[in-house]
This record gives sequence, structure tokens and C-alpha cells, in this order.
Amino acid sequence: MKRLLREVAAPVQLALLALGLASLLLLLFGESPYHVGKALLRGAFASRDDLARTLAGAVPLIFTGLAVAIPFRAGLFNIGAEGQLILAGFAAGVTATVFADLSPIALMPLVMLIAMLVAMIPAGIAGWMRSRIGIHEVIATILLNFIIYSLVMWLLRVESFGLMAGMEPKTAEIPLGIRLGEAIPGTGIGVALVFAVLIAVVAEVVLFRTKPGLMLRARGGNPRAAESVGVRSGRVILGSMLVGGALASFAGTQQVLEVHHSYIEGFSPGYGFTGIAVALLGANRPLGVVLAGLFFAVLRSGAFAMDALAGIPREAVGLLEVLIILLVASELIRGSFRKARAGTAGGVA
Amino acid sequence: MSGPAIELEGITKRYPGVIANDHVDLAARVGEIHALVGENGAGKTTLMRVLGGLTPPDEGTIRVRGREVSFASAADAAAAGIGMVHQHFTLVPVFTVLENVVLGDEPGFIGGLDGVRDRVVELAGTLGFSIDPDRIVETLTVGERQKVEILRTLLRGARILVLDEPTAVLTPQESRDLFKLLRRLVKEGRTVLFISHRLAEVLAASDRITVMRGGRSVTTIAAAGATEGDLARLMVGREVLLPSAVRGGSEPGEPVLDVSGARALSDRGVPALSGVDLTVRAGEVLGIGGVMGNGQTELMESIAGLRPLTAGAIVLEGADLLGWDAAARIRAGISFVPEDRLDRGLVATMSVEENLALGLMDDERLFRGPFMRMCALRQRADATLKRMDTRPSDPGLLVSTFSGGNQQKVLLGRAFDSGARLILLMEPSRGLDVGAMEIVFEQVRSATARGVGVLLVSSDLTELMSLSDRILVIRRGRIAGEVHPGETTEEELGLMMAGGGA
Repeated sequence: MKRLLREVAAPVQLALLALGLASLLLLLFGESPYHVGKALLRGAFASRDDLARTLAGAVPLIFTGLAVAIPFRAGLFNIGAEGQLILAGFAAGVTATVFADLSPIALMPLVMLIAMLVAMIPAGIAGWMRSRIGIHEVIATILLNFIIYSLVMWLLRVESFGLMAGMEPKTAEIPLGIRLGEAIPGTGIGVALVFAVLIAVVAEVVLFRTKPGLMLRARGGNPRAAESVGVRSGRVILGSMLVGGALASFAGTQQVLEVHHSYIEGFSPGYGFTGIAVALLGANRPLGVVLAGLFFAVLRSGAFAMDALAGIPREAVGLLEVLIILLVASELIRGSFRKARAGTAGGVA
Repeated sequence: MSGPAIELEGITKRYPGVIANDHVDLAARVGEIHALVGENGAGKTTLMRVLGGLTPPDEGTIRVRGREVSFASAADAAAAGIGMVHQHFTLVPVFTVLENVVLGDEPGFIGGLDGVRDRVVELAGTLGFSIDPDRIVETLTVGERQKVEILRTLLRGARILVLDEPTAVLTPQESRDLFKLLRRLVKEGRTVLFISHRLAEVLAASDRITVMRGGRSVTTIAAAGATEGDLARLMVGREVLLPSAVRGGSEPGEPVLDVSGARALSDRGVPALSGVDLTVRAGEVLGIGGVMGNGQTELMESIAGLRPLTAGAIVLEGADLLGWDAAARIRAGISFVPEDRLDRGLVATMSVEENLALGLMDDERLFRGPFMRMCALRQRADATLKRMDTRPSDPGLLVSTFSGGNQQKVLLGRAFDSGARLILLMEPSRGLDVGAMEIVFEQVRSATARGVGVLLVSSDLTELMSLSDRILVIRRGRIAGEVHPGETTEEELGLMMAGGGA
């Protein structure tokens, strides 16, 4: 717990610093940071609908953040979360319409499972290519993203499959019984959010309290040392990428089951890539990722109100996100330099 | 002639939670070789970093030839005539000697290189060795690379040369060469300051010795007339058993490890082992002596399951290990202590207890199914750190916050804790002080008393001679001979390693 606080402390400080810088910027343009901030928070929290939208918006960010953070702990960079979640969303939409006659109790897990397995395929391919042929996972996942975009676009349009509902590029509406609602009625807290937090807690425990997590982090920290204590590098690579794919799948499934109620082409505004920023700000700790996901969701959800009430274009929020990422990244680089230097200084001290 | 070249007075450097240097005084005269000795964590490296301008001190003054200076950066120190030669060389392997010498201080024109070339050859000549400025650094021996480092420092005008454990990577012959070179330098009015853990060479090579203990400078004594025992006592603050006095005879039992006809390739794909046969018996320490890079690393890695054999067999207590990976071999009872603790040994970004857990993943007491038993692990880690006398002793700290010597203790503690039947020990006392070496020797002794077989690779001949029951000399991937420590000298062993004698 102490370590969690220590690891998350720096990103939190930097996020605050970024907010401070943004306030200065606003002052420079003659705007009141207080009013802008108030408008933003009002947009995110004012009504129960606003709150529900904000919290639901955090869910895909938490999942994609985890989908990046877990492989990152193993020393891998999963740029493929975007493709993985799109594939999962498509699989979820199709499964839900094809098996629409099943009872919701059976259909829900089936949808989640199939979406998950399908999303694990490209992640697994990238992991396999890295561990067996040595193709870097960044290259593999980026290219797989393009393959997935095109594949899904094509599958949706193959007439004999009949997946497209009407003229719009989307699947038919999913049965009412499997649409996700609030976990506790009246609070705005969705079932999906509760599930996301649970998954993050499980990830936290697995990473820091179990043997597989120990091996995964060891391979991420020092692959050669991990090898010499018997960690099978190939298994960690494949395993962590598969887990990454599964986590990304939940983001796609949630979008279908909770938000859009069908697979709609282009439903993801780049959640998979924002996940990289979320993982970074969350210090690659699952619980840190939950906080970072919520933070980004508040910014995005409040952006409309900020635009309408305070007259600040909502793109300004994107600016703030970038500012935070730059600060966190530069701190990470500085930190690793410091560590490298401390490492050589420790020679005989 | 023998005025003060460099004086440090009341140097104090605090880090959160520790005082690395506590009012340290040190004065080296012009024309002397001055050694700095002390236990791991005594503050030697911090002091050297202060001197080199890498770490600004919190308090204290530095005077170079009587003039007070303050260094904001390494460049300031270099401008004042202080040249650092680090433990890890800073040469670019694929560049030539000449390119490395001018790197970072390039002459303005392409033609300027020829002038530097002449100066390199000339300076090497006056220092009593020759070097081809157009050789690629990769192709040089470790000793030659070190000379290039020294040349570079001198060409930039260094009057005071600071060396951090210069002999740690050298053979005895190379070390002797180095000290000859250093002696010439001081004869010309330069000053040499060096850190070493090898007390015998400190006594032989230096004029005066400053001893540090617990962040303070204890005293400065003349090397002439002092003994290793005196130094060890000053460093530790109590009487210590010197390693050479420790090991008695032991009666080896059944073979634990049998290696026959082992052949393997190096990382670069050239044959590194060309048919090695050896047997380690229970309760025996079998030493492997040799100049670094003669197949020792490849031998140890193939036994540990980290490198495939191209021919031959490795048999552990009757079981052929062909096709067993590292995890299976650990389970079968092999524990591996690699030569470079941060390369193949520890994960610096994880805590000490996590690193211990990594080496003990088959220990039922530390894991319940896949789950770590946090309390049991903490207790185990506390015990290990206490036994190895590490400082600090908190197993929750990251390995990167420990000094090199203390990291080494963690690595060794893990191996001796593992219940292994065979311990592959490489350079166990690299970076360790006498007090810590005492602990390591004690651990080896108690392991062999339990019937554990130890295969030891060390470039420190004193260590090899005092720990081993038998010593095999390895040369170009073959066993070139066997000696018994009681019946040979370091000189003979060194000659065998280099390829002379039988």
C-alpha cells in the first residue's frame, strides 16, 4: 500500500501541475480558471445523467489502461488495444444478435467470452511473433490494428452474412435483457464500472501477490535476470499479451452492452491509444489506472459543458491531456536517468 | 616536489537517511600513489564522485595544489586537472582507439586527427607500452582498454588520476603492468588516487593509504611497514579473519555434477567451449581459473540451462540434464550466482524480498499455490539480510537503493538460502570488502559441510586459491590443467592461465 502511494504520488503531482499550467494559460487569455473549472465539473457531475455518463466514460479507459499496463509491466508495449477492442465490440454485437433467442443469463457470459477470445487472437499473434520470431510487438500490434479495421469493415458488409442492420454500418440492436444498467439504482454507478474496478483489484493482486505476477514483473524489470531464475520469457510474453487482449475486449464489450446497444462502426474515439496515456498516468499500477481513467473521463465528460457554459472550445481538454502526458513522460525519463546514474554510483559505495 | 596535490577537508555528503561522507579528510601529495580502502558502504565512491565533480558536497573544501576550488560539474573537475577512470569503461567498442581518445574533445578539422595520433603513440611510448591507435576497441583486451582510458584522461591534461577499483577486471599480470604504468606517472610528478578491495595489492602498489569506515576517514598510514591485518582491522574496526587463513581440508563425497565433452558457442556464435570435462563432488569446491573470456561464462551458463550445448553431456546426481530448461534445473537443485549482479542476477527495480522470492519460487513455505505468503517471505528476507549483514537491512527497499557490495550480498544470500545441491558461483566477492568476504567464505564452508558441491569461477587468484579444493585452469574453452592450492603459487597459476608452463 505504501508502495502504491509512492508510485502514484508523482503522477498525481504532475497532473496537478498540468492543471496549474492550464489555469495560467487560461489567465493569459483573460479567462477565469475558476469559472472554466466550475463549468467543467458541472458538466461532469451536475445531474445524475451527467454523473452516469462520466462514470460510464471511465470504463473503456480503465480497461484499455489495464490492457496497456499489464504487458508494460512485462516489458511489452501493447499498441494493439484499439484493434483488440474493436474486434471484441464487433464480436459482441454479432454474438448478441445471432444468439438473441438465448436467455439473458446465458447470453451475457457467452457474449463476453466470445468477444474476449476473439480479441485475444491478435494479441496472442503479436505475443507469439515476439517470443518465437523476435518481431517487435509494437510493429506487430500496429499492423494488426490495420488488418482488424479492414477485416471488420469487410465482414460487416458481406451481404450473405447479413450482419448490417439497414443502411448504416452497424449491427442489429442487442436484446434488452443483456443491456447493462446501474449496479445500484439511482447512483449512476454502472454494472460495468463495478466490474472494471473488480478486475483492477484482481490485476493488482495477481501482479503483486502471486508467483505469475512476480515472474511477469521480473521479466519486465530485467529479462536476463528473470531467465536465470527460471522465468520462461516466452510464456510471460505470450501470457501478458493474451491478458492485455482480454482486458481490451472488455472495453469493446462494454461499449456494445452499455452505451451503443449494437456494434457501430467507428464507435471508439481511440480508446486503445488513450489507454496508453491512462496507463502512464496510473504509473502502470492497476489501481492507479482506475484513478487515471476516472480523471480522464471527468475531463472528457465535462468538456461539452465547458464549451457551452464558459466558451472554451472542448478541444482544450485534449490539450490538457497532452500536457499531462508530456509531464509524466518527461518525469519518467528523468527518473530512469537518475536510476541509471545511481546504479553506476552504487559500484563500491 | 612532494607538496599537496589535492586536499579534501571536512567533506560531508548527506543522502536521505544516510550520511555517506561525514567530515572526511584526505590529502594526496604530488608524486604519490594514494590508495583508498574501506568496507562496502564506507563512502569511498561518494568521496570519489565529489572529487570528480559528479556530486557536489554539502560541506567541506577541496583544494587542488593549494588553491581552493568548487566543482559544479565533471567538466570543472577535468579543467582542474582531475581525471577519472571508472570501473565500467566508457569507451565505444566499435570505434578505434584514436576515435575514442578524441571523442567528446574533437579537434576542429579532420586533419587534426593525425596530430592526436602522434601524441597517442608518443605518450604510450613514454609510459612504456605500445598501442596501435587504429585498432578497434572491441578487439582489445580488458587491460589494454583500461590503458586507453588512462591515455585519454592524460591527453586531456589530467595531473591527478582517480581510479575506481582498477584491478577488479584484470589478471595478475595485467595488474602488475598497470601499477608499473601508474608508478611511471607519479615519477613524472602526477598523482594517483585509487580504490581497491585487494589489500595485498594496495600494500604493494601504493605509498600511502587512507582508510574509511562508516562514512568517516579513520586514518592515513604509510604502506611501508603495514600489514593486511592492520588494514582489515582499521576498516572493520575489529579483528578479522583474512580469507587465506580460512579453508581447511574437507573430504569430498559422491559426484554431484559431471560434465563431459561439453561444447558450446558464445553469444557471437563462435566456439567458446571445446570439449570440457569436469566433476564436482559433494562437499567440494572446484575452482575454475582463467583469464576472463576463456569460456567460463559459457560453461556456467550451459550448466545453469541458459545456453545450449552443441555436444557433450551434463549430469546432475545421475540425471542427464539434456533438454532441461533453467527452471527445471533450479528445481533439480542448481543455483546460479552470475558474474554481473545487475545483468543476470537481480531485478534492480524490484524490492529485495521480491528478488529473494524469485530465486525461491519452488519453496512451499513462501508460496501457497500461486499466492505469495507475504509474512513468511518478510521473515525469510529479514533472516537472510541479517545473516549476510547487509546495510540497509530493510527487505522492502528496492535493490537499486543498495550499494553494489550489498546487492552482491543479496544475490549470494539467495543462492545459499535455496537448498541447492550445486551452487555455480561466479566472482562471489566482486565489490565486497574483507568483512563481507568473511561472511561469504563462511557461507561456502557451511554449504560444503552440508554436502553441497560448489563450482567457483573467480578472476581473483587469492580468492580462488583460498576457497577451492582443486583448481582447473581453463584456456580457450579447454581445461588446460589441474592444480591443488596447497601445492602451487599465484604466480604459477597466473602463468598457466596466460598459457605458459603446464
